[in-house]
Amino acid sequence: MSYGELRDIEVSYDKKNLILKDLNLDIRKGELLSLLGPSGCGKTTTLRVIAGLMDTAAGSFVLDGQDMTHVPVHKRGFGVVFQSYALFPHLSVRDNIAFGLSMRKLDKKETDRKVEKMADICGIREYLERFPKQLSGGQRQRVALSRALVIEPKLLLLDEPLSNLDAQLRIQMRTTIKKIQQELGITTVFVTHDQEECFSISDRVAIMDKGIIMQCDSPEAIYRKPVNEMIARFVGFKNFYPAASYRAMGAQVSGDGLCCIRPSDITIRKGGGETVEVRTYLGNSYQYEVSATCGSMTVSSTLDPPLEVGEKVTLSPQTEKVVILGA
Amino acid sequence: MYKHHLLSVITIIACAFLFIPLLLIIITSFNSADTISIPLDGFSLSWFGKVFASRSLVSSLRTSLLLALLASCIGLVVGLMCAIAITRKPGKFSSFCLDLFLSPSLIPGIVIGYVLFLFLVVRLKMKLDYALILGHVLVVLPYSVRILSSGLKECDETIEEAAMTLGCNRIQAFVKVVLPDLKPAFLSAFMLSFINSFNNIPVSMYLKGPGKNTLPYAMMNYIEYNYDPTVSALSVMLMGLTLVFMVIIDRVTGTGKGSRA
Repeated sequence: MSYGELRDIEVSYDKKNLILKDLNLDIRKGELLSLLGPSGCGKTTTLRVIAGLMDTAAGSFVLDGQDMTHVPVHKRGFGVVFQSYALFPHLSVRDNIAFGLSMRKLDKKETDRKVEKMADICGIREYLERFPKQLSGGQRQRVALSRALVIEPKLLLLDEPLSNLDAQLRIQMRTTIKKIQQELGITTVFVTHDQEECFSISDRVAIMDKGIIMQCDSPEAIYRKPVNEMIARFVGFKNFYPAASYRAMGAQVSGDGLCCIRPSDITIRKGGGETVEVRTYLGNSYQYEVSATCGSMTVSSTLDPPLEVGEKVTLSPQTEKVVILGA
Repeated sequence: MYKHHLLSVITIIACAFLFIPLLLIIITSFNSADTISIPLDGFSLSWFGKVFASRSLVSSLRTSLLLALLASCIGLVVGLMCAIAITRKPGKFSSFCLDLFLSPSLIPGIVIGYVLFLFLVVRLKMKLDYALILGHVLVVLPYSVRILSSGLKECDETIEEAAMTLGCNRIQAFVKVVLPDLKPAFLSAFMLSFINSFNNIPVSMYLKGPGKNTLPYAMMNYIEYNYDPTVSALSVMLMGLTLVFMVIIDRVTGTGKGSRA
Protein backbone atom coordinates (compact mmCIF):
# COMPACT_ATOMS: atom_id res chain seq x y z
CA MET A 1 0.00 0.00 0.00
CA SER A 2 2.60 2.51 0.96
CA TYR A 3 4.80 3.92 -1.78
CA GLY A 4 7.58 5.27 0.39
CA GLU A 5 8.60 4.17 3.84
CA LEU A 6 10.85 5.83 6.37
CA ARG A 7 11.81 3.28 9.00
CA ASP A 8 13.41 4.01 12.38
CA ILE A 9 15.21 7.08 11.08
CA GLU A 10 17.64 8.71 13.48
CA VAL A 11 19.49 11.93 12.77
CA SER A 12 21.98 13.75 14.91
CA TYR A 13 24.17 16.76 14.18
CA ASP A 14 26.70 16.17 16.91
CA LYS A 15 26.42 12.41 17.53
CA LYS A 16 24.90 13.08 20.97
CA ASN A 17 21.59 14.84 20.63
CA LEU A 18 19.11 13.24 18.29
CA ILE A 19 17.22 15.59 16.00
CA LEU A 20 15.00 12.75 14.81
CA LYS A 21 14.26 9.76 17.01
CA ASP A 22 12.96 6.48 15.63
CA LEU A 23 10.99 8.24 12.99
CA ASN A 24 8.55 6.15 10.96
CA LEU A 25 6.54 7.56 8.11
CA ASP A 26 4.57 6.05 5.26
CA ILE A 27 4.06 7.94 2.05
CA ARG A 28 1.19 6.79 -0.16
CA LYS A 29 1.29 7.04 -3.92
CA GLY A 30 -0.13 10.24 -5.34
CA GLU A 31 -0.93 11.84 -2.01
CA LEU A 32 0.00 15.22 -0.64
CA LEU A 33 1.49 14.52 2.77
CA SER A 34 2.29 17.43 5.05
CA LEU A 35 4.79 17.63 7.84
CA LEU A 36 3.44 20.11 10.34
CA GLY A 37 4.99 21.38 13.52
CA PRO A 38 6.60 24.31 15.30
CA SER A 39 10.03 25.47 14.14
CA GLY A 40 12.82 23.22 15.33
CA CYS A 41 10.58 20.15 15.48
CA GLY A 42 12.57 18.31 12.82
CA LYS A 43 10.18 18.61 9.90
CA THR A 44 12.72 20.20 7.56
CA THR A 45 15.30 17.67 8.71
CA THR A 46 12.89 14.88 7.79
CA LEU A 47 12.45 16.40 4.36
CA ARG A 48 16.21 16.70 3.91
CA VAL A 49 16.61 13.06 4.87
CA ILE A 50 14.06 12.10 2.22
CA ALA A 51 15.82 14.33 -0.33
CA GLY A 52 19.17 12.80 0.52
CA LEU A 53 20.67 16.12 1.58
CA MET A 54 21.28 14.82 5.06
CA ASP A 55 22.87 11.65 6.34
CA THR A 56 21.05 9.46 8.80
CA ALA A 57 22.62 7.83 11.82
CA ALA A 58 20.25 4.88 11.59
CA GLY A 59 17.19 3.69 9.75
CA SER A 60 16.18 3.12 6.16
CA PHE A 61 14.22 4.78 3.41
CA VAL A 62 12.53 2.70 0.76
CA LEU A 63 10.70 4.19 -2.21
CA ASP A 64 8.69 2.17 -4.66
CA GLY A 65 10.37 -1.04 -3.53
CA GLN A 66 13.85 0.43 -3.97
CA ASP A 67 16.20 1.03 -1.06
CA MET A 68 17.12 4.72 -1.21
CA THR A 69 18.94 4.97 2.11
CA HIS A 70 22.39 5.25 0.59
CA VAL A 71 21.55 6.63 -2.84
CA PRO A 72 23.25 10.05 -3.14
CA VAL A 73 21.07 13.08 -3.64
CA HIS A 74 21.92 13.61 -7.31
CA LYS A 75 20.86 10.10 -8.22
CA ARG A 76 17.52 10.14 -6.39
CA GLY A 77 15.73 12.21 -8.99
CA PHE A 78 13.36 13.92 -6.60
CA GLY A 79 12.08 17.42 -7.20
CA VAL A 80 12.82 19.80 -4.37
CA VAL A 81 11.48 23.32 -3.88
CA PHE A 82 13.46 25.24 -1.29
CA GLN A 83 12.19 27.90 1.05
CA SER A 84 14.48 30.48 -0.56
CA TYR A 85 13.55 29.10 -4.04
CA ALA A 86 17.30 28.69 -4.75
CA LEU A 87 17.00 29.78 -8.37
CA PHE A 88 20.27 30.02 -10.27
CA PRO A 89 20.85 33.77 -10.59
CA HIS A 90 23.06 33.56 -13.67
CA LEU A 91 20.55 31.58 -15.72
CA SER A 92 17.36 32.72 -17.41
CA VAL A 93 14.05 31.25 -16.29
CA ARG A 94 14.15 28.92 -19.28
CA ASP A 95 17.64 27.67 -18.42
CA ASN A 96 16.72 27.35 -14.76
CA ILE A 97 13.82 25.06 -15.62
CA ALA A 98 15.88 23.18 -18.21
CA PHE A 99 18.77 22.61 -15.80
CA GLY A 100 17.68 19.17 -14.62
CA LEU A 101 16.90 18.08 -18.17
CA SER A 102 20.28 19.18 -19.47
CA MET A 103 21.91 17.15 -16.69
CA ARG A 104 20.00 14.20 -18.12
CA LYS A 105 21.40 14.99 -21.59
CA LEU A 106 17.99 15.45 -23.16
CA ASP A 107 18.12 16.87 -26.69
CA LYS A 108 17.31 20.54 -27.27
CA LYS A 109 13.95 20.10 -28.98
CA GLU A 110 12.58 17.76 -26.35
CA THR A 111 13.92 20.02 -23.59
CA ASP A 112 12.24 23.07 -25.05
CA ARG A 113 8.97 21.20 -25.41
CA LYS A 114 8.99 20.00 -21.81
CA VAL A 115 10.11 23.35 -20.41
CA GLU A 116 7.39 25.19 -22.29
CA LYS A 117 4.73 22.70 -21.29
CA MET A 118 5.69 22.97 -17.63
CA ALA A 119 5.85 26.76 -17.87
CA ASP A 120 2.31 26.69 -19.24
CA ILE A 121 1.09 24.54 -16.39
CA CYS A 122 2.69 26.85 -13.82
CA GLY A 123 1.63 30.00 -15.63
CA ILE A 124 5.06 31.50 -16.29
CA ARG A 125 5.25 31.06 -20.07
CA GLU A 126 5.74 34.78 -20.69
CA TYR A 127 8.68 35.06 -18.29
CA LEU A 128 10.88 32.35 -19.82
CA GLU A 129 13.53 34.77 -21.11
CA ARG A 130 13.76 36.80 -17.90
CA PHE A 131 16.23 36.37 -15.08
CA PRO A 132 15.24 35.43 -11.53
CA LYS A 133 16.03 38.94 -10.20
CA GLN A 134 13.43 40.37 -12.54
CA LEU A 135 10.61 38.27 -11.07
CA SER A 136 8.32 38.76 -8.10
CA GLY A 137 8.23 36.31 -5.19
CA GLY A 138 5.21 34.43 -6.53
CA GLN A 139 6.73 34.14 -9.98
CA ARG A 140 10.02 32.86 -8.56
CA GLN A 141 8.03 30.32 -6.60
CA ARG A 142 6.44 29.08 -9.81
CA VAL A 143 9.82 28.87 -11.52
CA ALA A 144 11.18 26.81 -8.62
CA LEU A 145 8.14 24.56 -8.83
CA SER A 146 8.49 24.13 -12.59
CA ARG A 147 12.18 23.36 -12.24
CA ALA A 148 11.42 20.65 -9.71
CA LEU A 149 8.53 19.19 -11.70
CA VAL A 150 9.96 19.19 -15.20
CA ILE A 151 12.27 16.27 -14.42
CA GLU A 152 9.16 14.17 -13.69
CA PRO A 153 10.31 13.31 -10.19
CA LYS A 154 9.16 10.26 -8.30
CA LEU A 155 8.63 12.49 -5.33
CA LEU A 156 8.09 16.22 -4.98
CA LEU A 157 9.46 17.78 -1.82
CA LEU A 158 8.39 21.27 -0.76
CA ASP A 159 10.17 23.01 2.10
CA GLU A 160 7.93 25.79 3.44
CA PRO A 161 7.42 27.01 -0.10
CA LEU A 162 4.86 29.64 0.83
CA SER A 163 6.46 31.23 3.85
CA ASN A 164 8.14 34.03 1.89
CA LEU A 165 4.94 35.16 0.20
CA ASP A 166 2.36 37.67 1.40
CA ALA A 167 -0.93 36.40 2.81
CA GLN A 168 -3.03 36.74 -0.31
CA LEU A 169 -0.49 35.22 -2.65
CA ARG A 170 -0.05 32.38 -0.20
CA ILE A 171 -3.64 31.25 -0.48
CA GLN A 172 -3.49 31.58 -4.24
CA MET A 173 -0.23 29.63 -4.50
CA ARG A 174 -1.34 26.83 -2.24
CA THR A 175 -4.37 26.29 -4.45
CA THR A 176 -2.08 26.33 -7.48
CA ILE A 177 0.23 23.79 -5.87
CA LYS A 178 -2.67 21.52 -4.98
CA LYS A 179 -4.10 21.82 -8.49
CA ILE A 180 -0.81 21.00 -10.19
CA GLN A 181 -0.15 18.19 -7.75
CA GLN A 182 -3.50 16.60 -8.53
CA GLU A 183 -3.19 17.21 -12.25
CA LEU A 184 0.16 15.45 -12.41
CA GLY A 185 -0.76 12.93 -9.72
CA ILE A 186 2.62 13.42 -8.15
CA THR A 187 3.42 12.14 -4.67
CA THR A 188 4.29 15.18 -2.60
CA VAL A 189 5.75 15.86 0.82
CA PHE A 190 5.08 19.37 2.05
CA VAL A 191 6.70 21.00 5.06
CA THR A 192 4.92 23.84 6.81
CA HIS A 193 4.31 25.42 10.20
CA ASP A 194 1.00 26.93 9.13
CA GLN A 195 -1.89 24.77 10.29
CA GLU A 196 -4.54 26.32 8.08
CA GLU A 197 -2.37 26.07 4.99
CA CYS A 198 -1.56 22.51 5.79
CA PHE A 199 -5.08 21.27 6.56
CA SER A 200 -6.54 22.96 3.53
CA ILE A 201 -4.48 21.16 0.91
CA SER A 202 -3.14 17.95 2.47
CA ASP A 203 -4.46 14.44 2.04
CA ARG A 204 -2.69 13.46 5.22
CA VAL A 205 -0.85 15.42 7.86
CA ALA A 206 1.99 14.26 10.07
CA ILE A 207 2.23 16.44 13.16
CA MET A 208 5.72 16.57 14.58
CA ASP A 209 7.24 17.80 17.78
CA LYS A 210 10.78 17.40 19.11
CA GLY A 211 11.79 14.98 16.40
CA ILE A 212 8.82 12.67 16.85
CA ILE A 213 5.74 12.19 14.71
CA MET A 214 2.86 12.41 17.16
CA GLN A 215 -0.02 11.80 14.81
CA CYS A 216 -0.26 11.05 11.12
CA ASP A 217 -3.74 11.04 9.70
CA SER A 218 -6.16 12.83 7.41
CA PRO A 219 -6.90 16.44 8.36
CA GLU A 220 -10.50 15.46 9.15
CA ALA A 221 -9.42 12.69 11.52
CA ILE A 222 -6.94 14.95 13.29
CA TYR A 223 -9.53 17.64 13.55
CA ARG A 224 -12.09 15.22 14.99
CA LYS A 225 -9.85 13.13 17.18
CA PRO A 226 -6.48 14.57 18.20
CA VAL A 227 -4.32 12.13 20.15
CA ASN A 228 -2.75 14.44 22.68
CA GLU A 229 -3.19 17.77 24.38
CA MET A 230 -0.74 19.64 22.19
CA ILE A 231 -2.45 18.60 18.96
CA ALA A 232 -5.88 19.17 20.53
CA ARG A 233 -4.92 22.74 21.43
CA PHE A 234 -3.39 23.16 17.99
CA VAL A 235 -6.65 22.29 16.23
CA GLY A 236 -8.86 24.41 18.47
CA PHE A 237 -9.92 22.21 21.37
CA LYS A 238 -10.38 23.83 24.75
CA ASN A 239 -11.70 22.94 28.19
CA PHE A 240 -9.12 20.41 29.29
CA TYR A 241 -10.46 18.71 32.41
CA PRO A 242 -10.49 15.17 33.80
CA ALA A 243 -13.28 12.83 32.69
CA ALA A 244 -14.89 13.07 36.11
CA SER A 245 -15.55 16.79 35.65
CA TYR A 246 -17.28 16.04 32.36
CA ARG A 247 -19.38 13.33 33.98
CA ALA A 248 -20.42 15.91 36.55
CA MET A 249 -21.71 18.07 33.70
CA GLY A 250 -23.75 15.19 32.33
CA ALA A 251 -21.53 13.85 29.55
CA GLN A 252 -21.28 10.06 29.44
CA VAL A 253 -17.51 9.64 29.28
CA SER A 254 -15.78 6.71 30.89
CA GLY A 255 -12.35 6.32 32.45
CA ASP A 256 -10.27 8.99 34.14
CA GLY A 257 -8.26 10.41 31.25
CA LEU A 258 -7.96 14.05 30.27
CA CYS A 259 -10.91 15.20 28.19
CA CYS A 260 -11.53 18.22 26.03
CA ILE A 261 -14.16 19.70 23.79
CA ARG A 262 -14.48 22.56 21.32
CA PRO A 263 -16.21 25.68 22.64
CA SER A 264 -18.93 25.29 19.99
CA ASP A 265 -19.85 21.74 21.09
CA ILE A 266 -21.16 22.72 24.49
CA THR A 267 -24.81 23.61 24.81
CA ILE A 268 -25.44 26.58 27.03
CA ARG A 269 -28.86 27.27 28.62
CA LYS A 270 -30.17 30.08 30.80
CA GLY A 271 -30.68 29.34 34.46
CA GLY A 272 -28.58 27.07 36.63
CA GLY A 273 -25.55 27.11 38.87
CA GLU A 274 -22.78 28.47 36.62
CA THR A 275 -21.95 32.11 36.04
CA VAL A 276 -20.90 33.93 32.85
CA GLU A 277 -17.64 35.76 33.59
CA VAL A 278 -16.51 37.21 30.26
CA ARG A 279 -18.24 37.71 26.95
CA THR A 280 -16.31 38.13 23.67
CA TYR A 281 -17.88 38.95 20.32
CA LEU A 282 -16.66 36.68 17.51
CA GLY A 283 -18.71 38.02 14.60
CA ASN A 284 -21.17 35.21 14.01
CA SER A 285 -21.29 34.07 17.63
CA TYR A 286 -20.28 35.01 21.13
CA GLN A 287 -17.67 33.31 23.25
CA TYR A 288 -18.26 33.08 26.97
CA GLU A 289 -15.95 32.27 29.82
CA VAL A 290 -18.14 30.48 32.32
CA SER A 291 -17.00 29.62 35.82
CA ALA A 292 -18.11 26.06 36.41
CA THR A 293 -17.41 23.76 39.35
CA CYS A 294 -14.31 22.27 37.67
CA GLY A 295 -12.90 25.65 36.64
CA SER A 296 -13.32 28.10 33.79
CA MET A 297 -15.02 26.70 30.68
CA THR A 298 -14.88 28.32 27.24
CA VAL A 299 -18.16 28.08 25.37
CA SER A 300 -19.31 29.66 22.16
CA SER A 301 -22.93 30.14 21.32
CA THR A 302 -25.14 31.87 18.78
CA LEU A 303 -27.86 32.52 21.39
CA ASP A 304 -29.82 35.64 20.50
CA PRO A 305 -30.11 37.85 22.42
CA PRO A 306 -26.69 37.12 23.91
CA LEU A 307 -26.19 36.25 27.56
CA GLU A 308 -25.14 38.98 29.93
CA VAL A 309 -22.05 38.88 32.12
CA GLY A 310 -23.05 37.60 35.55
CA GLU A 311 -26.01 35.63 34.21
CA LYS A 312 -26.62 32.16 35.64
CA VAL A 313 -26.39 29.34 33.08
CA THR A 314 -26.17 25.55 32.71
CA LEU A 315 -23.53 23.88 30.52
CA SER A 316 -24.04 20.50 28.89
CA PRO A 317 -21.18 19.17 26.75
CA GLN A 318 -22.32 16.93 23.88
CA THR A 319 -21.12 13.46 24.79
CA GLU A 320 -20.12 12.40 21.28
CA LYS A 321 -18.02 15.53 20.82
CA VAL A 322 -15.92 15.05 23.93
CA VAL A 323 -12.45 13.76 23.09
CA ILE A 324 -10.67 11.57 25.61
CA LEU A 325 -6.95 12.16 25.09
CA GLY A 326 -4.47 9.31 25.15
CA ALA A 327 -7.26 6.80 24.65
CA MET B 1 25.87 76.40 1.74
CA TYR B 2 29.27 77.15 3.22
CA LYS B 3 29.77 73.48 3.93
CA HIS B 4 29.12 72.57 0.32
CA HIS B 5 31.63 75.15 -0.84
CA LEU B 6 34.29 73.74 1.43
CA LEU B 7 33.51 70.24 0.25
CA SER B 8 33.92 71.15 -3.41
CA VAL B 9 37.16 72.98 -2.71
CA ILE B 10 38.54 69.94 -0.92
CA THR B 11 37.37 67.70 -3.74
CA ILE B 12 39.06 69.87 -6.34
CA ILE B 13 42.31 69.94 -4.38
CA ALA B 14 42.23 66.15 -3.91
CA CYS B 15 41.56 65.57 -7.60
CA ALA B 16 44.29 67.99 -8.59
CA PHE B 17 46.70 66.24 -6.28
CA LEU B 18 45.78 62.90 -7.85
CA PHE B 19 45.69 63.86 -11.48
CA ILE B 20 48.16 66.70 -12.08
CA PRO B 21 51.24 64.45 -11.70
CA LEU B 22 49.71 61.96 -14.11
CA LEU B 23 48.91 64.75 -16.50
CA LEU B 24 52.50 66.06 -16.29
CA ILE B 25 53.84 62.65 -17.13
CA ILE B 26 51.55 62.39 -20.13
CA ILE B 27 52.67 65.82 -21.31
CA THR B 28 56.37 65.14 -20.84
CA SER B 29 56.15 61.86 -22.72
CA PHE B 30 55.32 63.80 -25.87
CA ASN B 31 58.12 66.31 -25.36
CA SER B 32 60.90 66.36 -27.89
CA ALA B 33 63.49 67.63 -25.35
CA ASP B 34 66.07 65.19 -24.06
CA THR B 35 65.17 65.56 -20.40
CA ILE B 36 61.95 65.33 -18.47
CA SER B 37 61.03 69.00 -18.55
CA ILE B 38 58.22 71.46 -18.82
CA PRO B 39 57.39 73.61 -20.77
CA LEU B 40 57.45 71.58 -23.95
CA ASP B 41 60.14 71.99 -26.54
CA GLY B 42 58.16 70.43 -29.32
CA PHE B 43 55.97 67.45 -30.06
CA SER B 44 57.53 64.04 -30.54
CA LEU B 45 56.52 60.39 -30.40
CA SER B 46 60.13 59.20 -30.43
CA TRP B 47 60.16 58.26 -26.73
CA PHE B 48 57.52 55.64 -27.32
CA GLY B 49 59.76 54.12 -29.92
CA LYS B 50 62.66 54.24 -27.52
CA VAL B 51 60.77 52.14 -25.01
CA PHE B 52 60.66 49.28 -27.45
CA ALA B 53 64.26 49.86 -28.46
CA SER B 54 65.40 49.34 -24.89
CA ARG B 55 66.10 45.63 -24.41
CA SER B 56 66.06 45.84 -20.65
CA LEU B 57 62.63 47.54 -20.53
CA VAL B 58 61.04 45.18 -23.03
CA SER B 59 62.37 42.03 -21.44
CA SER B 60 61.47 43.22 -17.94
CA LEU B 61 57.97 44.10 -19.14
CA ARG B 62 57.61 40.56 -20.44
CA THR B 63 58.93 39.15 -17.16
CA SER B 64 56.57 41.27 -15.12
CA LEU B 65 53.49 40.45 -17.21
CA LEU B 66 54.24 36.75 -17.16
CA LEU B 67 55.03 36.80 -13.46
CA ALA B 68 51.88 38.74 -12.59
CA LEU B 69 49.75 36.43 -14.73
CA LEU B 70 51.20 33.25 -13.24
CA ALA B 71 51.14 34.49 -9.66
CA SER B 72 47.57 35.77 -9.99
CA CYS B 73 46.32 32.52 -11.50
CA ILE B 74 48.01 30.37 -8.87
CA GLY B 75 46.81 32.81 -6.22
CA LEU B 76 43.24 32.51 -7.49
CA VAL B 77 43.27 28.72 -7.44
CA VAL B 78 44.84 28.49 -3.99
CA GLY B 79 42.70 31.39 -2.77
CA LEU B 80 39.53 29.72 -4.00
CA MET B 81 40.35 26.53 -2.14
CA CYS B 82 41.11 28.49 1.04
CA ALA B 83 37.95 30.50 0.65
CA ILE B 84 35.80 27.38 0.21
CA ALA B 85 37.31 25.73 3.27
CA ILE B 86 36.94 28.85 5.37
CA THR B 87 33.36 29.69 4.42
CA ARG B 88 31.95 26.17 4.39
CA LYS B 89 33.19 25.20 7.83
CA PRO B 90 32.86 28.37 9.86
CA GLY B 91 34.33 28.38 13.33
CA LYS B 92 37.22 29.60 15.42
CA PHE B 93 39.76 27.64 13.43
CA SER B 94 38.42 29.03 10.15
CA SER B 95 38.64 32.63 11.27
CA PHE B 96 42.15 31.93 12.53
CA CYS B 97 43.02 30.54 9.09
CA LEU B 98 41.50 33.58 7.42
CA ASP B 99 43.71 35.85 9.52
CA LEU B 100 46.67 33.66 8.67
CA PHE B 101 46.03 33.87 4.94
CA LEU B 102 45.58 37.62 5.13
CA SER B 103 48.77 38.15 7.11
CA PRO B 104 51.14 38.49 4.11
CA SER B 105 49.42 41.80 3.35
CA LEU B 106 50.34 43.05 6.83
CA ILE B 107 53.96 41.98 6.89
CA PRO B 108 56.25 44.47 5.10
CA GLY B 109 57.17 43.20 1.64
CA ILE B 110 60.83 43.80 2.33
CA VAL B 111 60.65 41.29 5.20
CA ILE B 112 58.79 38.72 3.13
CA GLY B 113 61.35 39.07 0.37
CA TYR B 114 64.27 38.72 2.74
CA VAL B 115 62.81 35.74 4.60
CA LEU B 116 61.87 33.94 1.39
CA PHE B 117 65.33 34.55 0.01
CA LEU B 118 66.93 33.06 3.10
CA PHE B 119 64.58 30.11 3.32
CA LEU B 120 63.80 29.17 -0.27
CA VAL B 121 66.96 30.16 -2.05
CA VAL B 122 69.73 29.86 0.50
CA ARG B 123 68.31 27.06 2.60
CA LEU B 124 66.29 24.94 0.14
CA LYS B 125 68.42 25.87 -2.89
CA MET B 126 65.29 26.48 -4.89
CA LYS B 127 65.65 27.94 -8.38
CA LEU B 128 65.23 31.71 -8.30
CA ASP B 129 62.48 31.72 -10.92
CA TYR B 130 60.30 29.44 -8.83
CA ALA B 131 61.09 31.36 -5.68
CA LEU B 132 60.07 34.58 -7.42
CA ILE B 133 56.73 33.09 -8.47
CA LEU B 134 56.13 31.69 -5.00
CA GLY B 135 56.97 35.04 -3.44
CA HIS B 136 54.48 36.79 -5.66
CA VAL B 137 51.81 34.18 -4.97
CA LEU B 138 52.29 35.06 -1.32
CA VAL B 139 51.90 38.74 -2.15
CA VAL B 140 48.65 38.24 -4.08
CA LEU B 141 47.07 35.48 -2.00
CA PRO B 142 45.46 37.75 0.62
CA TYR B 143 43.52 39.58 -2.09
CA SER B 144 42.00 36.49 -3.64
CA VAL B 145 41.27 34.86 -0.27
CA ARG B 146 39.53 37.94 1.04
CA ILE B 147 37.53 38.74 -2.09
CA LEU B 148 36.58 35.16 -2.94
CA SER B 149 35.57 34.27 0.60
CA SER B 150 33.31 37.29 0.86
CA GLY B 151 31.92 36.39 -2.57
CA LEU B 152 31.24 32.84 -1.41
CA LYS B 153 29.60 34.05 1.78
CA GLU B 154 27.13 36.11 -0.22
CA CYS B 155 26.33 33.20 -2.47
CA ASP B 156 23.19 31.29 -1.43
CA GLU B 157 24.28 27.81 -0.39
CA THR B 158 20.94 26.26 -1.21
CA ILE B 159 21.52 26.83 -4.94
CA GLU B 160 24.23 24.20 -4.66
CA GLU B 161 21.79 21.81 -3.03
CA ALA B 162 19.19 22.65 -5.65
CA ALA B 163 21.67 21.77 -8.38
CA MET B 164 22.39 18.49 -6.62
CA THR B 165 18.72 17.55 -6.45
CA LEU B 166 18.59 18.17 -10.20
CA GLY B 167 21.33 15.66 -10.92
CA CYS B 168 24.69 17.33 -10.27
CA ASN B 169 27.29 15.74 -8.07
CA ARG B 170 29.15 18.03 -5.67
CA ILE B 171 31.80 19.12 -8.13
CA GLN B 172 29.38 19.64 -11.01
CA ALA B 173 27.13 21.67 -8.75
CA PHE B 174 30.03 23.88 -7.75
CA VAL B 175 31.26 24.38 -11.30
CA LYS B 176 27.86 24.89 -12.90
CA VAL B 177 26.15 26.96 -10.29
CA VAL B 178 28.49 28.48 -7.72
CA LEU B 179 31.39 29.48 -9.98
CA PRO B 180 29.29 31.50 -12.43
CA ASP B 181 27.86 33.32 -9.45
CA LEU B 182 31.41 34.13 -8.32
CA LYS B 183 32.46 35.63 -11.64
CA PRO B 184 32.53 39.27 -10.47
CA ALA B 185 34.52 38.26 -7.37
CA PHE B 186 36.97 36.34 -9.56
CA LEU B 187 37.51 39.29 -11.84
CA SER B 188 38.13 41.79 -9.08
CA ALA B 189 40.38 39.33 -7.25
CA PHE B 190 42.35 38.77 -10.44
CA MET B 191 42.67 42.47 -11.14
CA LEU B 192 43.88 43.32 -7.64
CA SER B 193 46.28 40.38 -7.65
CA PHE B 194 47.67 41.27 -11.04
CA ILE B 195 48.21 44.92 -10.18
CA ASN B 196 49.82 44.10 -6.84
CA SER B 197 52.18 41.58 -8.35
CA PHE B 198 52.98 43.92 -11.23
CA ASN B 199 53.75 46.77 -8.84
CA ASN B 200 55.74 44.80 -6.33
CA ILE B 201 59.32 45.86 -5.81
CA PRO B 202 60.54 44.57 -2.40
CA VAL B 203 59.83 40.86 -2.91
CA SER B 204 61.12 40.93 -6.48
CA MET B 205 64.27 42.72 -5.37
CA TYR B 206 65.41 39.74 -3.31
CA LEU B 207 64.24 36.98 -5.61
CA LYS B 208 64.62 38.25 -9.16
CA GLY B 209 68.11 36.90 -9.62
CA PRO B 210 70.94 38.30 -11.73
CA GLY B 211 70.21 39.48 -15.22
CA LYS B 212 66.48 39.30 -14.71
CA ASN B 213 64.43 42.37 -13.90
CA THR B 214 60.82 43.11 -13.22
CA LEU B 215 59.45 46.22 -14.83
CA PRO B 216 59.23 48.54 -11.79
CA TYR B 217 62.81 47.65 -10.93
CA ALA B 218 64.01 48.16 -14.48
CA MET B 219 62.28 51.52 -14.59
CA MET B 220 64.03 52.60 -11.41
CA ASN B 221 67.35 51.49 -12.84
CA TYR B 222 66.72 53.24 -16.11
CA ILE B 223 65.86 56.56 -14.53
CA GLU B 224 68.96 56.40 -12.41
CA TYR B 225 71.16 56.59 -15.50
CA ASN B 226 68.96 58.21 -18.13
CA TYR B 227 66.91 61.24 -17.25
CA ASP B 228 64.90 61.20 -20.47
CA PRO B 229 61.17 60.86 -21.08
CA THR B 230 61.33 57.18 -22.07
CA VAL B 231 60.00 56.21 -18.68
CA SER B 232 57.25 58.79 -19.05
CA ALA B 233 56.26 57.22 -22.34
CA LEU B 234 56.28 53.77 -20.74
CA SER B 235 54.16 55.06 -17.87
CA VAL B 236 51.63 56.49 -20.32
CA MET B 237 51.41 53.12 -22.02
CA LEU B 238 50.92 51.39 -18.69
CA MET B 239 48.18 53.84 -17.78
CA GLY B 240 46.53 53.21 -21.10
CA LEU B 241 46.78 49.47 -20.54
CA THR B 242 45.23 49.77 -17.07
CA LEU B 243 42.43 51.86 -18.51
CA VAL B 244 41.68 49.23 -21.16
CA PHE B 245 41.85 46.57 -18.49
CA MET B 246 39.34 48.39 -16.31
CA VAL B 247 36.96 49.08 -19.18
CA ILE B 248 36.99 45.39 -20.13
CA ILE B 249 36.32 44.29 -16.57
CA ASP B 250 33.60 46.86 -16.18
CA ARG B 251 31.99 45.58 -19.36
CA VAL B 252 32.18 41.96 -18.30
CA THR B 253 30.92 42.41 -14.75
CA GLY B 254 28.66 45.24 -15.93
CA THR B 255 26.80 43.06 -18.41
CA GLY B 256 26.74 40.36 -15.78
CA LYS B 257 25.00 42.75 -13.44
CA GLY B 258 22.67 43.94 -16.17
CA SER B 259 21.43 40.45 -16.82
CA ARG B 260 20.89 39.86 -13.13
CA ALA B 261 19.21 43.13 -12.26
